[in-house]
Order: sequence, then C-alpha cells, then structure tokens
Amino acid sequence: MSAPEPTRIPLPLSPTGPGAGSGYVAAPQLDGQGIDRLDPGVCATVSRIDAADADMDRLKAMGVCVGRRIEVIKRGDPMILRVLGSRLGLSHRLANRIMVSACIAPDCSHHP
Amino acid sequence: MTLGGRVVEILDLPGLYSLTSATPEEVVARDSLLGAVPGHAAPLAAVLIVDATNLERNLYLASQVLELKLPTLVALNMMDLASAQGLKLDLPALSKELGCPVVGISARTGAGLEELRRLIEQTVDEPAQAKPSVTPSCSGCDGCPHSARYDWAEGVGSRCTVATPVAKGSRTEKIDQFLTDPVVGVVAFLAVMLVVFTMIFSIAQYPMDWIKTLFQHAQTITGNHLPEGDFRSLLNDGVIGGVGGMLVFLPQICILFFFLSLLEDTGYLARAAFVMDRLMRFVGLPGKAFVPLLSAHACAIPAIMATRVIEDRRDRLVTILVAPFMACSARIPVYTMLASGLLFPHSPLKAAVLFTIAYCTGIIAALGTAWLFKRTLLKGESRPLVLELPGYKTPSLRTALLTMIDRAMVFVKKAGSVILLLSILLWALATYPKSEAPAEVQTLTKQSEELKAAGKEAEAGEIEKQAKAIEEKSALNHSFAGRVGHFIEPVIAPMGFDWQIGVGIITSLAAREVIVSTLAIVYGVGSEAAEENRDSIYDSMRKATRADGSPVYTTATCLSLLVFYVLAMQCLSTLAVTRRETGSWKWAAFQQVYMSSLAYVAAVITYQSVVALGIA
Repeated sequence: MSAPEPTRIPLPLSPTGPGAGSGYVAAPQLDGQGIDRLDPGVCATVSRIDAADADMDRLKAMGVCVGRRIEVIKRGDPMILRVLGSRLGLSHRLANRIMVSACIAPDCSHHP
Repeated sequence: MTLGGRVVEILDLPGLYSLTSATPEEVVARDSLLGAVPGHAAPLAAVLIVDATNLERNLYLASQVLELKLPTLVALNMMDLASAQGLKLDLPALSKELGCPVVGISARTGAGLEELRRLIEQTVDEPAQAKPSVTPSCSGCDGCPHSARYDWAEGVGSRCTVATPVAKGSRTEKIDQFLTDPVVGVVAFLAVMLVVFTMIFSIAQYPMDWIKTLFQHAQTITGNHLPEGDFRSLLNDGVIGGVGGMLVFLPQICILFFFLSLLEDTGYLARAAFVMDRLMRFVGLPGKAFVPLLSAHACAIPAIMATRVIEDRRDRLVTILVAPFMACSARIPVYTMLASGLLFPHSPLKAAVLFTIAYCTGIIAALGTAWLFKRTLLKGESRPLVLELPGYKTPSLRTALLTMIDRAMVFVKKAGSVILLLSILLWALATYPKSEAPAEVQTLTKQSEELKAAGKEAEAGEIEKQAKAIEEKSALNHSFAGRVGHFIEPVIAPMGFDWQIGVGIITSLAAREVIVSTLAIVYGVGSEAAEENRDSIYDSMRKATRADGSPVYTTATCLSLLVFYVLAMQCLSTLAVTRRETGSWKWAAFQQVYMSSLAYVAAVITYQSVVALGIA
C-alpha cells in the first residue's frame, strides 16, 4: 500500500440529503471527493484512483476506472456501488481512494 | 466431444471479467486462447459464454476476446432469466456489432444448446475471423483506455437492448437491505451455516457408516479368501484400511460442496463474503476466507479446496495453512476418548465443556496464526474487497450436483494416490520387522484349541481373542513404529506421554482418529475388542502405568494429549490436498512442521503447568 493519502477537499455532502427522491441525482461540485462520501442515489464520474496496481486491475476489470459513471447504492464498510448495471461490493479503504467528480458523461440521462 | 463426425477437444477456461493478465486465471486464459500453452494446440475457435442479464459488463471481456482475431462465437447464457425479468435483446443486431455469430442459450433449461452445437460445428468447419463493427480499443485517449472500451460496451449494450426490465434488481436490493446489513447480515449468515452444518452432520453419517461397513466387509472377504501372511495384511491394513480411511470423508466433502454450490448459485455466498470482510480484516484475511474456514469444521479437505475463491495468493495461502486447526469431524473420536472416556466419564456436562474448549482452542489457534502469518511470513494486509454482488436467483440442482461430483473426483484422483502410497508406508512401519509371537500366545492358543476340542466354543473364542491381543501388542512393540515410539519417548516425555502414546502419534500421522485404535492395540485390548466395546479401551488405559507404577492417564496427560490433538496436523489427506492446491510440497511440509511444533510446545506447557498446579 504505497499510494499517497489523497487530499480531501471538504465539501458539503449530498446536496439532496440521504434517501432524497428516487433514482439518480447528479451531484454538483463533487470534485476530488472519495466515493465513500457519496450519498446513495448520487451519480458521479470517476476522476482519479490512487490504489495499488493489483487493486487498480481488479477495479478496472469490474468497470471502475477513470471516466466511468458510478452510483452508490449503500454506504458503509464495505459499501455497494452500481457499476455498469451490476452491484459491486467495495472495501472502505479502497473506496476512499477512488475520487469522483460530477457526472460528465455526455449520454448521462440523469443530468440536471 | 464429437461434432459432425469429428472429435473436437473443448477446453473450459476460468470465468473472467477481463483479459488484462492481472491474475493467474487471466494469464492462463489469455495464453490458452493465443495457443501459447505448451502441450495444447492453438484453438480452432473461441466460444464466449456471457450472462445475458448483464450484457454491458460482459461485452468488455468480449471486446478483448474479439481482438485476438480468433473465429469467435458468443453464447448468451441465462436467456430464460432475462426474459423472466422482461429483458429483450436484439441478437441479430448484436451479432452485427460484434461481427460474429451470437446464440441465446440457457444452461439451466437446456434451451439453445442444439443451436450452439450447430454453430460450433459451423465455426470449426468454416473459420471466419470476427470483425467487430467498431474497434473498441482506443489508443489515443489520454485517460484510461479501459474507459473507452467500457463506453463501447455500453453503447453496443444499449443499441442491442429492445426492452429493459421495469425494475431491474429491485428485488435483489430489497433482500440486500437485510443480508448486507453489518448486524442482521452476520446473524443471517451464521443461521444459514448452522443449517448447512446440521445437514452435513445428520446426512453424512449414513453414507459414512455404509462406507465403513463396506470396507469392513472387504477386509473380511480378503481375510477369508487369502492365506494369512504379509500380502493379506498389506491388502487389509495398508490398502483397504488406507483407502477406506480416506473415502470415509467423501460424504462430508460431497455434501459440503453441494450446499456451497447451491448457496453460490443463489448469489448468497457473495453476501456472506461481503458481511464477513470487515470482521475478517482483524486477522488480515479477506471476507472470502470465512466460508472455507467455517467449512473446515466438517473437514479441512473441502475447506482447502474451497479457498480457490480467494484472489490474492498470500491471503489464500494463509487460509490454507490455518484451516486444519478447525475441529474437523475426525477429531471427534479423539476428543470423545479423552473428554468423556477418560477425564469425565460420569459428567456429560463437564465433558461437553471440555469439548467446547477444544473447539474454541482450534478457532483461536487458526485466527491467531493467520494474524501472525500476515504480519511475518506472508506480510501484507488482505486485499480490499472488490466483489460483484450478483442478482439473487433460484439455484440449479444440476449445477450443484456437477460441482459436487467434480470436486469429489479431484479429491479421490489427486489426493488418493498420495494417500495410498503413504498408507502403505505407515503399514510397513507398523508391521516390520516381524517378531516371534511371545510364548504366552502359544500357550493361550493351545489352551483355546483344547477348549474347542472339549466343545467349549465360547470360552475358546474368548481366549483366542486374548491371544490375538497379546500378539498384536507384541508385534507393534517390535515393529519400526514401536521402536520409533521408544526412540522418541525422551522427546515426548515433557508432554507427559509414554512410548505407547508415541506409537499412537506415529501411526496416526496419516489420520488422527487412528490413535484410538492404536492405543487399543498397544494397551493389549486388541483391535477387535475395541471395535466392539469402547469402554474396554478406557479401562485398560486407566490401568496403564509408568515404570514407577504411577498411572499414565492423569488429568495432566489427558489434557496435554487433548491439546496436542487439537493443534497437530495428523492428517495425510489434508497434506496431500495442500500440496495439490499450493502446487508444492514446500507448503505442505511447512504446514506439517509448524502445526506439529505448535502442538508440541502447547502440550508441554499444558502438561507442565497442570502438574505444577498439583492437579492429579
């Protein structure tokens, strides 16, 4: 585990609050935040991953890599993400190394 | 298999998410597809079986396989489940996008398999390179090249999906609310495992008894038809005894794998690993190690085979190394002998408490050594959990049965030869060199013949048994095993053991429960009498004395022997499976040595401290 501790920019947590609404909510101003701090139902784009090589490969194989859209289903340790239509269980110590930004995918149907 | 009049070899590659060569499975799969595995010809065609209910995720792997430019065929599995969910796919469109034939199948119902056979035949006869409509690889992107591939997969997926399920996975997520909860999930998991174990112990008993009876019959038959001598003894005690001792575990192995496969098929096993991950982290192991470690309470063999789900090599090795500490079913006869036979024959409650302590000691030893190994020998934190949680579905009995048969065959074939060889070796140790039967035996035999002649059959039989017991005792005493027992006596004396127990430790190296029958022989009860009446062993053991006349089986010796058998390896079958699963004798030898050393040290400490406390 040699990856540097990611710098965290303190940001207000979910703009909508946990459990608000149904379906996806695009989160503004998420840049640099770890996915462990995303609220359930929030859609975001992976901007950076600071993990060991072996873990990077495992994440990539599961569809978590820079530029991909993800959504948090359940917070906690481990947490559950939705990636590519399937559920992914993820340790907190890996989740906090995956940085996200607001969803930028051009075909994202959940843009505000 | 035969396809259109010619024989085609089908090679099943491990299930994968990608071909990025990150894991050993991926390297093997990639090399096989490229024809780079020595001894295997380059493949004629690749058949890619993907989950129709999760097309986008699987198209990622598809794009990597298609890039290998092999004649490729895509089979969409679980089509029955897809339509049940309301998912409709445009197969001709997908075939066009991928540039290769696509067929919808269901392994569970068998639908589409004929079509698949026909397509394989066609692909093999007229190989055509796959030509995906768009090249998914993207070398120019400055970001992550995988991302482009995923974009492609998502694009193709959405273009080929006619109708999406109304509420995809909502049922699964509702169930997951409970089953992935840190508290409810753990409780639910323990309840599920309790049911599985109850099934194992209640069902397995019957086939285990059948197998025992079968092998006893086989021994009687060879006993009746072969002349008495070394060959009969080899066949009976070495071959039949050794193979029988191994096969008796088969029912437990089968039942455990059957239930594990069922649980995995429902999608539940992933949740078990999910909820246990955080707890297992305290000892440095991943959540996926929990089910194998729990399974080891039935038998360490299926447990070690079940560690294949653990991705990280170090995590897996540590799990394999510590699994045999768990109180497997072969320890039960030994614990019974010590707890309810010798120490507390009149108090079932105290015996039960001691049983529980023995079980807990095993668990603590396993977790403790795992913790130690992850900080020293196989340093490193457990790999953080990255685990797909598949949607819940009805399990397939067929798959469970096939998995069960497959695992059972692996055990019998691969471990069987090693076990047979070493059983014969141990038989030889306990049989040679031959010694003259003591004079006492001859007198007794004469007596029994006289009684028989006088028509007193019952008494003659009694004396014959006595003679046989004395003969067995003397033969073992003079054999290599007996000599080794005497030889190691100074070493085992600090544990409070005498040479007879030493012989028991040697003969039970292959299977720990053998100590019970060996002790029956060395204390002159005779193996037959012990089979018929357990109490006769306990009586003679209690009467056994050391050279100075003091009893051997004091509380201190019994406790020390119990601790030794909780911790010592004493199982050849496990050793053979460890060698197979780790791929080298090195780890098997290490396992044997460290477990024996730990057992020795702990037994010495137990004996010496109980003696020092003055408990008689």
